[in-house]
Amino acid sequence: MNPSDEQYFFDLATKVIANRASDGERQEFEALLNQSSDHRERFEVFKTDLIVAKDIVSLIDAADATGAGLNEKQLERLQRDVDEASSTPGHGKSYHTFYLIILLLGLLFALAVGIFINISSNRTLALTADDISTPDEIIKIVINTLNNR
Amino acid sequence: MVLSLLLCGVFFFGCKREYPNYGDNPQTNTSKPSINQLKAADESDANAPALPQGTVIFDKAEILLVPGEEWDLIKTSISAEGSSICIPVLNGLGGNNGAMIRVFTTEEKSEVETAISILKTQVESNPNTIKNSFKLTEFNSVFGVHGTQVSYDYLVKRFLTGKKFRAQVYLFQNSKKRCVAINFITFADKDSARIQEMIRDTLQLN
Repeated sequence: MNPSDEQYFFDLATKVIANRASDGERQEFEALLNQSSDHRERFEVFKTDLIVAKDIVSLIDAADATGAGLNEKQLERLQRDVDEASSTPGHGKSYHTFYLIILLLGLLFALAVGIFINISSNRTLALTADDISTPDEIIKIVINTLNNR
Repeated sequence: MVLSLLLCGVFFFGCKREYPNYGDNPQTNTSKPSINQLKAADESDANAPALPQGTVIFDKAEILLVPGEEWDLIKTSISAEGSSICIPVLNGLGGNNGAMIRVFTTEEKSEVETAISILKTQVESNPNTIKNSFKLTEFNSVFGVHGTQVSYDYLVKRFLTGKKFRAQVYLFQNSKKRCVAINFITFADKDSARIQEMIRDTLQLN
């Protein structure tokens, strides 16, 4: 698609999305979409961008109209729209989510290993010095007390 | 992932087993005579009466036990000097893994009742022992040793949880009226009936 064709494609797309295309233009646009999967893909991306942009513009218009700026809810919605628009691999929310999941899985794995080792050490039946220290201390006090009487 | 590996390392080294030094002196050398070696030493004395196979003699306490197989005999010769502990220490192996028998004795004549009283006070005041776990029962060995068996539970903190142990102390007098304590320690949830039976069946004054 050369630049002029591209411009024509997007003009048609804009008209279709805005419901301003004539029947002839709509048919021509359908034919263009059917020509190539690339055309259809570009149209879907363009439509999404346009919807997000429309949403943002409406928010900004609302803020301008009231003169009070965006309230918390509107800001939240704006942030969500921007995040959605920028959620591409290697950038944005999905990138952070991916690494957060990896980190959580790593922590879970470490916890599982720790619990396994703990259970194993509890099941290891050989007594340690710590295990015998309490009765050892008690019996020695008993014997020493008897010896000193 | 780096953090995970670090945590793994901490858990691994944190849970690394400690091997006990059964003596009081950290520089103690432990030698481990087999039961047969002890038996051979006993048999070298031609005038001594024949002892059962596998007899373990606790010279200082003047008692003997026949613990059978699956016991490691630990002789802590240096630390035993001037100490109330009587060598050898019996450390369970195989089916007896997790059990330990240590024998203590007083230097002079002592009453078992006095020992029980002191023991009760110590058990009840120790922060690691489990309240109301102190129990007393009379015992008679097959060979006529009469005494009192004291039992109590205690907790040892281990990583995320605590582990419950049971100490059983057989208190009686030897032929010189000295108080002897056989201190048998094992995990509280481990069946120790067989070992207790062994003590009652084989305990003799020497």
